[in-house]
Amino acid sequence: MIKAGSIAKGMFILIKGDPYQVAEREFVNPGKGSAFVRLKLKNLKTGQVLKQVNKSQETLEDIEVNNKSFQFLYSDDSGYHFMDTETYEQIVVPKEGAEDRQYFLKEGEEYQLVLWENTPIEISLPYKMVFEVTEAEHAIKGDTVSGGSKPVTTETGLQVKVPLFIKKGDKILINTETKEYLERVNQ
Amino acid sequence: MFKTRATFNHAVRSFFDSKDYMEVETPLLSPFLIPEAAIEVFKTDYLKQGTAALPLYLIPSPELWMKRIITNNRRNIYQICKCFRNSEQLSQVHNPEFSMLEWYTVHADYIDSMKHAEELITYLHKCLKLKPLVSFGNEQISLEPPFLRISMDEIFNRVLGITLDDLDDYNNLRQSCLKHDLMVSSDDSWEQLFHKLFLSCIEPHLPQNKPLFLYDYPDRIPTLAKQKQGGLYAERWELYIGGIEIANCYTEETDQEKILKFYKGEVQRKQQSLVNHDIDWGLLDFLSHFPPCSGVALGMDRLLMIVYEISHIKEVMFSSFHEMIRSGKL
Repeated sequence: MIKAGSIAKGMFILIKGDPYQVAEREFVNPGKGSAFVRLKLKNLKTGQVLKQVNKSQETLEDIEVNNKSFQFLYSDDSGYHFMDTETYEQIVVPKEGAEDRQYFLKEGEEYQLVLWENTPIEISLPYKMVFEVTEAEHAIKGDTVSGGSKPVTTETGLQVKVPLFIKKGDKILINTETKEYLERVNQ
Repeated sequence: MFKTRATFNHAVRSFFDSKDYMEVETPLLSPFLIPEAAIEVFKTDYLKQGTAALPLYLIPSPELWMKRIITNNRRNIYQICKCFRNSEQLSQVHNPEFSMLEWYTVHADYIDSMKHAEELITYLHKCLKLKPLVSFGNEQISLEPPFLRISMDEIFNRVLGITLDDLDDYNNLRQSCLKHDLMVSSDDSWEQLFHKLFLSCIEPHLPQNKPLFLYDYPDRIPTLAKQKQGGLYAERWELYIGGIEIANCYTEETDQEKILKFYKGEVQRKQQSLVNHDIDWGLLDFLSHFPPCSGVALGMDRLLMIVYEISHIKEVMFSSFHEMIRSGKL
């Protein structure tokens, strides 16, 4: 059990049998009466977002999870297929609630899966990842309307806004949380 | 930012000076504080020669000293000073050290103070030549008077279709919380259930296009605000601008028994605090001669952010905790 006041972003907790990840945590102190914590929680089974307010002193059930390396193989209608890099066992992570992970999964690459009672509940991503630009329009010289940026698509299908000098075939660094372009990676 | 803040502070001072409020300066380090269970404080030691170290506390508000001045001098006073609140999570609008403007008006009540606060912001708006609409968050906010004035009862009625009179009953309040899927614990007090409902279902829906005075809070929330006639409400308001709490005001409680009851309740709940402090029992003697008075506390950093459309508190400070942590100094 953990006190609501000690909960941090990224932690995993259990509510009515479902695992949730803390997406946002805001301390609210009306200054009179009691102190509260406003939580935004993501249900890892359904992807639904739950907002709740707890007293700082209130206890919630935290769950013990562990991280393990898996190789991403492919995705199909049944979900994302991974292979345990130690035992070569394969598992499927349902897409439900993790739809946007498709834009960050590259076949053959290793990822950390968060396991709870041997069930994967989250595909954790590094803060930054490198992707290749597979589709990019040529920049129009003197185009100031677009604010000096243009949309491109990566090999995983992710669409991002990038500066005009980015070309097809370039490698770019993306912030996986905000899905924003950070910089061009020198080859 | 220095210039902006200097101009801003100067304008605030000129407003109060023109209305004949006296500026005062009181200690930031105090050997005792008013008990407030929800606030954690910073503790330090005074190394007095020949004795053991004496605990001192950084004030979370200058109230305890300013009320002493009013008792003795019976005139309108204001102060801009640093205040300190420990353990609160950093956010875009929270830094543990911040600037507070506090002003007290004698022979006035919370309705008078609403007018003063509105005049102050209107004055700043003109004096600093601000835009007619300021954008903050996703909102365009008009700082033109009149500001919105909505009572707690009215907002509950508007958003949830229930009256606060009905919620005065603990079971009704509990049922309302459950109806809105809120987590309810068996040991939740009336005040805690009320805040859960308010913070989850009401606060996110407060109008944001104009500054809003939300007034007449339930008297069951323990404060030093005077009880309104009828007993259900306290003469209190909070000023919200762009969804953020900017200021709060009480018609100050002067009834000895009620002040003592507040003190005892807070001391009791304070036992769960991380930092305990000595209690300012001496203030009770002063409050027994206290004139009718209304007090306002206003977060200067937050108001500065809003009028200049700055989204993060660190941008209005020389070095915020956010910056010190980022650069590894803290």
